[in-house]
Amino acid sequence: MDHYRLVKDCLKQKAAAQRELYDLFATSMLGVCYRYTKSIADAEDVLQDGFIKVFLNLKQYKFEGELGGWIRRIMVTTAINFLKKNSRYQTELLFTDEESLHAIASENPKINLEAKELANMIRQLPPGYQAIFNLHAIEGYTHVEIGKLLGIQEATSRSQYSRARALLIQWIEQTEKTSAYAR
Amino acid sequence: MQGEFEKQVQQKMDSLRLVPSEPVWEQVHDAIKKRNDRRRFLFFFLLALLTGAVGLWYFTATNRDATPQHSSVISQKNSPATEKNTTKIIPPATMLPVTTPGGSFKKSSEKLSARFAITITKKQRVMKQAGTKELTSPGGNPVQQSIELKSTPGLTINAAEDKKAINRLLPDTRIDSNTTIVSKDSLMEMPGKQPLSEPAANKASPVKKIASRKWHNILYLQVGVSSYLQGSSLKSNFYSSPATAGSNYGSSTPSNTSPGFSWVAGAGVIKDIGRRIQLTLALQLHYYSTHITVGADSSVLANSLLSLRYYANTPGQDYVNKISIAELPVSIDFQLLKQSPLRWSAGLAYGRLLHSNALTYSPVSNLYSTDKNNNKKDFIQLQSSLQYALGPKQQISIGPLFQYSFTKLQRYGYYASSHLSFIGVQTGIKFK
Repeated sequence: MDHYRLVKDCLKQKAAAQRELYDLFATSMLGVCYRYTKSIADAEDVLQDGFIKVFLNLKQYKFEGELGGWIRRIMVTTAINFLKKNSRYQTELLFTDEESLHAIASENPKINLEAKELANMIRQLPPGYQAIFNLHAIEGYTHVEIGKLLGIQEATSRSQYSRARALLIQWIEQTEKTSAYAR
Repeated sequence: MQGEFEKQVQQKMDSLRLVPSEPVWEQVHDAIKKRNDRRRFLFFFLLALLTGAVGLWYFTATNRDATPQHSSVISQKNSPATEKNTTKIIPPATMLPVTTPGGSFKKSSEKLSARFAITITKKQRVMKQAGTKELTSPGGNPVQQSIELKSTPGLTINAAEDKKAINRLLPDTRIDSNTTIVSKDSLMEMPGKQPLSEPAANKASPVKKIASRKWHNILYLQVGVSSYLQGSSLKSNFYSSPATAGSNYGSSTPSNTSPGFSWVAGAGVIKDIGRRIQLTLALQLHYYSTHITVGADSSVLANSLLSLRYYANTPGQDYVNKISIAELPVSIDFQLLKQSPLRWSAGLAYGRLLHSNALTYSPVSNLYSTDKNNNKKDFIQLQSSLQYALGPKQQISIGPLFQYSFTKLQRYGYYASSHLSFIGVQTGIKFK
């Protein structure tokens, strides 16, 4: 079934179509939610809230752009709201400079890790770093947009991103080295 | 500006796929359904309000229009002797003495062809009416006198005969061939001491008979079958999902629910609010039942403090879920065809749970339990029926009826997505 028909059927409140839409995007969207949270339970909570928003606001989708992209934006916004609302994340959203950084070998190292391994590394970042890294590196948001979304200065977003990036590269290099020794 | 590192991360993350657990979809589905149910309820609630408002408006508008029409009005045309201040109203009543302008009384045994009224309003004249209070006009305003004539209910107006009779009864009032008599049936609600000054009252209008606006009592009995209506999509998706196959959660299916006997006994009042529309208010007791198959009583697991009983989800014995609800239905009936006493009724009912032994099924434990706290207490229901009236005065009605509860049966568990429904036959008797 094409997306147009699927959306139309969902708008008619057909349960089978709603389930089909969910099945079509749930796995990839859980991947998105997973990157923003610290546990799979939190990721599923975000996914659940996100899909409820998707179904309740589906009539706002005007078939401009990919349906997957539209759903993904809803998931990202839901994830950010979740981080803001959740007290556990809120305290950690205070952007600290506690992470000590070591020199990194390359600015653009080759990543040989599996997707989930890399996602787990991103999830190891402090929540502030994690959100900014996800928003800028993966979703393509500008620092101005991130600043507005998270309620921080553009410069803060920029500097936090640099630190997050450096930290991640450092971890990737370490993991690659360990893997190489193991081989 | 995205570098090589970001592109690699993006590609890796785009390929990341994780399978969510089945309860996520259940929660999403429930939330959407709840929202839709709320919208549907709001829609029907507003529809009911609108229907009620329109009905009320129609009722009051009809009453307002009907008030001046409750009298027979004689308007004089081209009659110089009586064209000033002559309006006559005679309320229907038993035969009473008639006062003539000269003050003498005469008994009238004139029978008019229908009940109607005449009011005589004459300027600066004081007239007495035998057996009633004196009507004076201190300020010199028009004086109204009511003269009561014997009414003959049920007959239609014969204008020519009536004019003759009025002329005989009131010789000083000229009622000639140009006089028009307008009558609208009952004068019970007529403000008899008020002169008819409304322009509408002086205008001729066609003879029209208005239906009785009285409340009638109604007793009725409904018998049929009741069942749980459940979202089939939820059931099929929930239990056939590959994600949950093999896991304890969702691997068990509850017993099929069979419809059970159901009856309703009620009493209410019914009123005509339009020529073909009736309003019905009632109070009824509704007994529902459904059948499921359960296994042995496993109450050894029960918490005695909660007085719960548990049954295994295995074939064994028939269990009857019995539910009693007190309901307050409000419905509007429409006569579908002018010539046929076939009526369609639609309405809403509020229900309050009186008793229930309905079991709760938990897919996690694969057990049934009697958790009374899980039952919802208040119900909003939709009901619709077709009724055919029988009997000489159409006081007996019979026809099919359907009822559906918007409110779900239980708060959680398998039947939390179930709605009580009833289909049956109704027979009722209407009396004054």
